[in-house]
Amino acid sequence: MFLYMAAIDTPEEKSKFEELYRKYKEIMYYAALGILKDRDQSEDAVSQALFKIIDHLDEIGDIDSQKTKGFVITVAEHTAIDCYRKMRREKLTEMNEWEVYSQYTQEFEEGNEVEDCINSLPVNYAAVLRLRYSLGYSDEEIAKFLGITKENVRARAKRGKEKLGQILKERGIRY
Amino acid sequence: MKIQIAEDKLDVLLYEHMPRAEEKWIAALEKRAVEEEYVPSKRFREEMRGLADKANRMERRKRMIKLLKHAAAVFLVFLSVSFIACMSVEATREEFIRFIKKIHADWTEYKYDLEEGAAAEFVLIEPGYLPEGYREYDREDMGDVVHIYYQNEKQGIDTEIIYEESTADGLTVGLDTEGAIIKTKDIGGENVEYFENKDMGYVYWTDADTYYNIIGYIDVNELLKMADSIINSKKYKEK
Repeated sequence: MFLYMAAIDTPEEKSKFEELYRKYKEIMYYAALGILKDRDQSEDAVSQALFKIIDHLDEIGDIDSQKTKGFVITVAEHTAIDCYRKMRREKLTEMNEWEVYSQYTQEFEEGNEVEDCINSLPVNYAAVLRLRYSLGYSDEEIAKFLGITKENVRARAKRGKEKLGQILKERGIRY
Repeated sequence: MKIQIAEDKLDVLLYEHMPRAEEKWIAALEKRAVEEEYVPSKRFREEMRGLADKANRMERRKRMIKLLKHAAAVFLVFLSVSFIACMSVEATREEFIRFIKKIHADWTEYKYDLEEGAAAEFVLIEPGYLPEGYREYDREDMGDVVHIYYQNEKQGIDTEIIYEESTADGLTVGLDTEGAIIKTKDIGGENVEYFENKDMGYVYWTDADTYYNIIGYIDVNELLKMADSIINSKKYKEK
């Protein structure tokens, strides 16, 4: 028997994209705003991030999982950096993208020093390290999600670790 | 789950502390989201509507292709290959297909069987007409079932058209007809059925022993032109 069904939409098959957008648009926006400091540019960054995420919807499992949440916000933050880079090219800002930090993670709390040191890394490094060490993606997957080469992923991870080592040393934290 | 390979002490530290660092970072963002109640701009909301439509189309297309490939594999496993006699090409071709059409709430089922003793004659006939800018980019040939995939070169996978030709022996087809009006058109003496539904066009018909189907993200009139180029081809008339 040959059964051929064209795609049939059922109420249960509500778009994964729409669920993702509904659930995470606010925190994606604030992740971008923490870098770009401008509402319109932040919305543009979120729009571009969601456009990137569409190509990887199949790879996203449970929409409600911590892994999915971390992934979409990381892509939003990284896309904001891309927008930042574009602004530099157009000479709209003087700051170096490798010195861009998320505005939410610059405070240190007693008892959480190591986590705070990690969160104080520049966004370009933090994004790669988060995708690798927390969300468990391979360097090939990270390259695909962020639109950079695998060599670039490795270089950022290496520099990010070096920077982290420097921060830990400055704060007197041994490892 | 990726295997954690710690090359140095910093790797060990990162594997241990990064998940907690991530939670803290996300918590800071969520706190701000709760405190400030972000309202997306009208421009952004409109952009998201367009993006959602695109994502929905892509998801449907992926499901369609996945189902087509799965169904073709199932068909191969269950296909009956007991041919009794060959038809004479000089004899008048009679209709050997019996089909049952069942209309459900949101889809329509067609079940085709050949009459007992009838022999299927599969002759691949490709469309002579393609919409402007389209070309073949893939095909699956399983002997008595062929799928040919076409795309508009400039616009890519969002424009896909799939042509299917298969022998009608033991064939069941289900088509998403929810909210659609099925129309018919006489093309070269064949009763061709067609409809449009959810941005897709569907065109299908049978001859004496073969089922033809063209579906795609394009105006159904373009698919009808493809059907016309098949039915009015010399090869089709000589079957």
